[in-house]
Amino acid sequence: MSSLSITPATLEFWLKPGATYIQSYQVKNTGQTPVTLSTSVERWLPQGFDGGLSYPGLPLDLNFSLTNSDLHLGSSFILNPNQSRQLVLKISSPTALSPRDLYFTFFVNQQLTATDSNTTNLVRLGSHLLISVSNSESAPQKITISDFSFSPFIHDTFLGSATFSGLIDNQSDFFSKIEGAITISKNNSPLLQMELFPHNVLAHHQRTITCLNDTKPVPCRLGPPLWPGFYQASLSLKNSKEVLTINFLVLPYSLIAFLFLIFSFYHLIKYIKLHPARH
Amino acid sequence: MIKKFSLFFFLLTTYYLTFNTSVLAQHFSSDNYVIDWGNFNITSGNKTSSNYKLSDTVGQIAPGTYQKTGVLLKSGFQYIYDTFITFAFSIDNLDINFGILTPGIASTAVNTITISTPSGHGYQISSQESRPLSLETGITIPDTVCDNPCNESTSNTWINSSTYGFGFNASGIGASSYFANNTYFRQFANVAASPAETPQIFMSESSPVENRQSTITYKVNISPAQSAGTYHNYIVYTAVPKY
Repeated sequence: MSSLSITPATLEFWLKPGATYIQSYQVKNTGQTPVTLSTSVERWLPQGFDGGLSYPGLPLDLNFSLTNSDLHLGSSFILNPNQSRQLVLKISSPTALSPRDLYFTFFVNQQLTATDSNTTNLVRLGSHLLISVSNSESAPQKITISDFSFSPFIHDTFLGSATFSGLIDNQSDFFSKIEGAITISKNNSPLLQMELFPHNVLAHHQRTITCLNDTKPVPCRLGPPLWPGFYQASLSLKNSKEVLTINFLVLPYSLIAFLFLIFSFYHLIKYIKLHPARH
Repeated sequence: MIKKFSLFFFLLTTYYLTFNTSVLAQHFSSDNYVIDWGNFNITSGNKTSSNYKLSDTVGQIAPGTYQKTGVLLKSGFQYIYDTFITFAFSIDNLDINFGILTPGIASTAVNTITISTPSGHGYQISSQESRPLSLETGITIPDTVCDNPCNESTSNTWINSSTYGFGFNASGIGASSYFANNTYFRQFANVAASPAETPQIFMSESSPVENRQSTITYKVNISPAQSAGTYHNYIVYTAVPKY
């Protein structure tokens, strides 16, 4: 068995060109056998719009090293069962680096040793660093709503739930958090507000929206019951004061369908009684 | 009246200056460091009882969340617990041994992976193989192409006993969008290929999870012409949070 944990899982910070940042990580072997590990740093880019990423082999552009007296990046160390080790990562920005975002993962990598002749599975565990290199911590934001929709357009009064979908676009050079809400109104009276989950939307990239439910991201769903009629849903962003409004309709079509079935069945029975089959 | 008030004020001032000493509530020093702390914490930490859990910091100055356009500030010691959130991953069995293989009869082996992610973050797990299952001489059991084409990024059904090769299936909530059911398999990305194949995601979710498990099923089927010997490779699983 191989079982590892790392803390913290993600870091986000600003770094001035020419400055240095130091971060400590706690890596623990929560398994039952000793494990040999090494460390590495890789740069990543976002993939898709739901927080996924990929490692295309880009140059780091920042300088990474471990300040542990007995370790450097790439060297091996052993963790015994239930043993923790603090790793101190030093990140330095070249003075001439142009302001922009850079995204990295600090990896702990399980290593094969001479005694692992039967080992066929190895583990790599990563913790992200989202770094904005800039002389200023208050860079202008360019957050916009590139898509906002509701499906299905006609929502049933009594049954099922419908989902709001949206895409937030970040056209700036630095990542931002999504801050906003979806407000449901009828006849211009607000009825319900769903706060958006504060996902990161990376530089020159997009991110799908989810809603906040007790610190967790959940789909933005609207459930029954709702009075029939026309409704408005407004997606508003605090970062940019942008608001996008869509309309949708609520009808009791499940009830209508049920009554129609009863009505049809009644008339079918009546027809059969009036026109019995002839032999 | 003014005289009495002046005398009282004089005596009061004298008392405070004479009998009171300054209190350095949060001042620490050593040969190398001096630390002056701005506030005095009365109590703090994690407390539990049979019915409740409480995390508190009492005496904190200006705690809370503050925000202005583009800036979100979490002030106070309670927010330090966010930095303690752990990302964890485990595999239950590091030694997958198919035993002796019979041509035309597929052999399978399983292990279980488990992942826990921090609040607010999903995860993705990718896999790669060091090389195809190989003898030391270089003879390989090729990666499967399934009954209908599959590769390292796309799974497909593999049921036919005359379809040979090595591949894997993953089952569980996070893997359901990558493998339709347990008859779907795909190759591991081969990093020894030229050009090297990119490690592929086979399990992911956008919501935080605790002890989410997936069963990995390895499958190998050899042809009657496959050379005898002990074939070996190793699989690397990479787990990272979503951002």
